[in-house]
Amino acid sequence: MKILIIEDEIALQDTIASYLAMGGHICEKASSFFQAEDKIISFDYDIIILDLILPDGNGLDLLKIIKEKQSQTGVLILSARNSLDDKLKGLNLGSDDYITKPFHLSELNARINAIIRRKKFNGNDRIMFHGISLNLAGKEVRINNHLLNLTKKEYDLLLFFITNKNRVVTKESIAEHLSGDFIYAADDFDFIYTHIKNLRKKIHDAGGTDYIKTVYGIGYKFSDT
Amino acid sequence: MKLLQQTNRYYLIISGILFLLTGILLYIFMSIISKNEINEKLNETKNRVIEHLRDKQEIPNLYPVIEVIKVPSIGIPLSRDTIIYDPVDHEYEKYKEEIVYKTINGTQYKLTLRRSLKENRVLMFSTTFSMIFILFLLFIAFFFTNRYISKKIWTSFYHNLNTIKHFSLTLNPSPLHLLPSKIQEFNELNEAIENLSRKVVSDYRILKEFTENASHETQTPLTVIISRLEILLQSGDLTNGQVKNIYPAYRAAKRLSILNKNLLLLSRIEHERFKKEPVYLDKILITQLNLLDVFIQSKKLTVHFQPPEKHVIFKGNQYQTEILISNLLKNATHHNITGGKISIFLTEKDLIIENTGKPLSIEPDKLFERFRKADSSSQSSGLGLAIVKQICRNLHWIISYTYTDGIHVLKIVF
Repeated sequence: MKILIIEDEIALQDTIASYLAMGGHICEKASSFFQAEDKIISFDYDIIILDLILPDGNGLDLLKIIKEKQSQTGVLILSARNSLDDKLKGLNLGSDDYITKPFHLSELNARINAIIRRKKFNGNDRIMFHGISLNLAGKEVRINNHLLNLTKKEYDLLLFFITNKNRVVTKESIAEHLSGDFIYAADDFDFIYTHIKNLRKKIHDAGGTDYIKTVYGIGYKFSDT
Repeated sequence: MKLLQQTNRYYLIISGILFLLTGILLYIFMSIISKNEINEKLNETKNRVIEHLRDKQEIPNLYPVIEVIKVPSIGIPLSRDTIIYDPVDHEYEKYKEEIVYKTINGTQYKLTLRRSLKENRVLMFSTTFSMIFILFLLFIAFFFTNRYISKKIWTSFYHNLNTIKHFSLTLNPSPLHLLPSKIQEFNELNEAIENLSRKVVSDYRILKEFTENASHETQTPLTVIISRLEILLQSGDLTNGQVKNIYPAYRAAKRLSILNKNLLLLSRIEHERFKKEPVYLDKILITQLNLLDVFIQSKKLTVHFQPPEKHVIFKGNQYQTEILISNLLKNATHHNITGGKISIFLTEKDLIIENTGKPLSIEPDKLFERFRKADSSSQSSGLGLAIVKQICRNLHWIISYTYTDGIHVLKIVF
């Protein structure tokens, strides 16, 4: 997928680009309103990551241009302002999702992939990983055609892992992804262990391979190597 | 005691004393004047009688006023008050008596001249009383005018005092506007206070803006730190020692970002004017409980909540109420013991959330202060309950905390 990252902080731009590149995406970067406008008019993108606060303009104005030129493009808004107003305005103007700084790259990646699935496959996508098959529309998981009876959280967890496959996912980012917000820090990650234990068990019982590797002290990695 | 009361009291005391003194003095003056008057009158009559005796050589007699008798020798003159019977009025009366001896044309006379004190005394008393009465009326008139004027003058003062009393930075951070007065001193005071309030408000705004800007400005660098560390953790060839260095840095950055978000949230709740809408408290409770399900299950908590038969609806802000309920429930979950209990009671009047847990390590009345944490090493920001308190303040709710027999009770009265 072709992704445009509009972010004035070069260090952040690079990090996002390199993380997304690991998932096989092609990333282009713009660090100002002017640059971004130029790229939006000249090229087509599947996804645009848009920072609302740019040195030479407001990201919301850029969003209007995007919607005029490329209505099929998915837009994910990045903002330092955790303001409901901005969020609503952004979503009303046609952005697909909204993420507040600071965020986890794994979370950003999950959100981008969700947008891609919604936009390109109308949600009727199927994700395959070595015999594990996720039906995103029905939220069903099959292993070697054997239906897994997963809870909503376990399903979310598995999807999060597969979206960020072959990458280390920290306990913090999992906790955040599962609990929805992190206004209140979850000190104990017990609930993650419980869910992961259950997920492993269910995959194992269905005859699948356990791809969830524990990265000691940090988190987990879903990988086949 | 109010100033007006105090001045009135002094006024009354002083005027009472003055009133008494004036009365006494008036009486003394009046008696001196009337005494002189009588003496003069007697003297005048005496001269007239002597003249009469000299010219007419006829002895006048007008008892009891004038009595003239021939005497063999001259005696000592006498002036005294006496009581004699008045044949006209048929009663005993007080008289001023003056006895003089005089030789006229070779004959010695004893002249006794008298003047009734009765009418004089009546006159004196009536004059004194009327004077005192007039004075009294004057005092009363002064008293009420004074009170009226003072009240009028102080009205703006009391109005302004009330305005100052209701000055609140958190509720309405705008400078004071005070009523002008005709009194220069009051106007100067008003001006000084208005200036002071302007300064306070602007300082407060600067401070708030600083907090907000600082938090905003930190977001992007924090994102860079967190994401760079995440990328670093991806590289497979990290040694154990490297991981031990990177991970704590990552966690600390996470903690900072949580703190940041909470500070921003708190400052928004304090400042932004949220629109009011009907909020279903029971529905919010159910939604938030479901969101916390993962934590509740992993801690093996039992939750007792019987939603009321009728919806509990009030005018508030959906977003703020969600944060309020969410923070309270997270608190009840987070500070619970494994296998503990959470009980929620919701009525039209109040909401009570009880949870099992270890006793507080901080004083209960400091529970709602910022950065109060039961455990300083905890990852929590210490702002959760400060946010709760601020939202309660916005909604004019009263929150209280008690701890009895291993159960923490947070009660909100609507």
